[in-house]
Amino acid sequence: MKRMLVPVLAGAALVLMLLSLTLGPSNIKLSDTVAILLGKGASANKAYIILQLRLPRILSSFLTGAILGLSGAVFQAALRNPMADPFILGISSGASFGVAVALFIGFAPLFGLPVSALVGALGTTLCIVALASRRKSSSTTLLLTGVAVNYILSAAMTLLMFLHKEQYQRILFWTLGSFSSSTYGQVVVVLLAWIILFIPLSLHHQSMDMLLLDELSARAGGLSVRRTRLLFLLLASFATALCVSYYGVIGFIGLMAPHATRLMIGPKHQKLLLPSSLFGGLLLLASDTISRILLPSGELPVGIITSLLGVPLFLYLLRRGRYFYG
Amino acid sequence: MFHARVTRGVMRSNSSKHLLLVFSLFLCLMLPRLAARGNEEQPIQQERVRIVSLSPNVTETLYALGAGSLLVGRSDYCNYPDEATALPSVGTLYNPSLEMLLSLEPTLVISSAFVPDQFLGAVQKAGIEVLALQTQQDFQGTYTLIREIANRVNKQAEAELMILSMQNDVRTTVQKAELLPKPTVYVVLDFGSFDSSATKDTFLSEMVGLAGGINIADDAQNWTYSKELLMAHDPEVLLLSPRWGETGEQTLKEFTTAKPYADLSGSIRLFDADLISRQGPRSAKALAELFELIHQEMAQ
Repeated sequence: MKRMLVPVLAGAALVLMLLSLTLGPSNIKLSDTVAILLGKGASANKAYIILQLRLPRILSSFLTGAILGLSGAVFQAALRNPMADPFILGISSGASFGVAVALFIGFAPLFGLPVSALVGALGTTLCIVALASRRKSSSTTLLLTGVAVNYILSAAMTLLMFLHKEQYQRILFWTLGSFSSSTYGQVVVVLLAWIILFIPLSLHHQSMDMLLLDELSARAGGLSVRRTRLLFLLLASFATALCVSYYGVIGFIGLMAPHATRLMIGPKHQKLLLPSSLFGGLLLLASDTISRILLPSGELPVGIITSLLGVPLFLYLLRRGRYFYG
Repeated sequence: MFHARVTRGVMRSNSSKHLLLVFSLFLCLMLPRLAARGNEEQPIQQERVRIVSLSPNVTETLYALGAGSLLVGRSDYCNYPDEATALPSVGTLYNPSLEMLLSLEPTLVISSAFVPDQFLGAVQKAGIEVLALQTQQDFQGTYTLIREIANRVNKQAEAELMILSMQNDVRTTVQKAELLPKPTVYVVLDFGSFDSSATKDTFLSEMVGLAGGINIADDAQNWTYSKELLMAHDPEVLLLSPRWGETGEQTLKEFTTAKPYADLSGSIRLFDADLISRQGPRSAKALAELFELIHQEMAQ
């Protein structure tokens, strides 16, 4: 079962992608979908819906889930905390604050919401790292600084929303997350981000295992704990911030995908990274597909479905298997 | 010596405790009376009706009925007619200031569905009459709203005249629309992550139909629409409302450069959301404007 996990997850992802391509509010038959994918007949309108709306969306949601699943594993190892997720260092609150400020000041039409969100997310992450680095930073200092800054930014964003209620809905919808405006350009950027994150992590999986030990043992093993932790965190933060700037805040995946995978395959990062990434991708793709087909016209925020779908699955796995964190 | 100082200290502390106790008792006895007195004084007996309008369409209706002089306050959104902007504002519809409202000494507050019930309850508790109007789901409801407001300010005759004139204008627009081909129309109320449009269950959808358009969002409800259906319908006319805080050009640029909207082949026309979405005396004019927008080529 453990050996087959990666092929099973990859196969399931492919099947789900094909299934998701055929599902949507405008009824397009399976035969038409296949014909469009093979470059044969079918109306231009149907081809546009399959190739320009559904396909980039499917790829975006899968890759974003893959990045969140991977980043979650990084954050939980680097901060030595099973409750850590990719948003703990202020990416979600920073990005949301960036969006709120852009709408409040009126910068949104000039730079667009993704740029404002990216600046907010990365700025906040760097601030937290800089604040925590002033003293001898332990993973706990970093974690607590992140939590504190998250609170300040959330309060500031709530204040902006309160003062500027006309933009409340726009900010709220942005924070709920959506893949409805995905483009192939975004798919390429997110794919590159995944590659840039995955390669160094898989090459240094032993360092990630060592980060889970206490600092003294890790140092005794020859690991530069501070530098490695910071590097991994910044890498994962950057990849997550990119996804957030395009698609909004999507919770749960980054927290739960690594845990669910650990339940199936154990805690060693050599075996954990790819399945965690695939599982995250699969879960987010399934959630996004449901979010766009559940209502006859219109769609639900993907974050709602992610939790509704993921939590029962996670609880089932938790009841079934023996869990090892580190 | 030390003992004496300690005793004095204890005595001083005892006397301050007594003082505190007496003051607390005094407060306990007086507070209910003070509160009751505050309440007794709240109902302001005025001969003349003094109105605070918490809805832009109410403000417009009052001015159109010739009762604008009764207004003593408005909401931030009441921006028509120009005279209305000279009135003091009590804040937004969602979060008006009770203190500001009370300081204007109104005898009547007319509100829309957006004002929180809690706030209206507090206004009533202060002895001020509240007329809470509900959003009407169809065009006919506009006349109901006008009549409700007119009844309260004794302008029934003026209201009937206004409604008659509006009905004439509406009839003219509808007749003109019936003679022309009906293009497919999509009203862009919001776009981006989630799309919002005038779906079947809205007043705006009925207006599009009356103005001679086929609203593609009639197959949906609750103001939300799917990008996929929008692209599948590819409507001939797209009516775009400028986003709050943005100029029409800014919103137009955002819409025409964003995917997938950039691939729509229909003609995009900006509309004045204030005029078209407010149910009031300008609704007939709004319908005529909507007709012009939908049939722009014909008009030219």
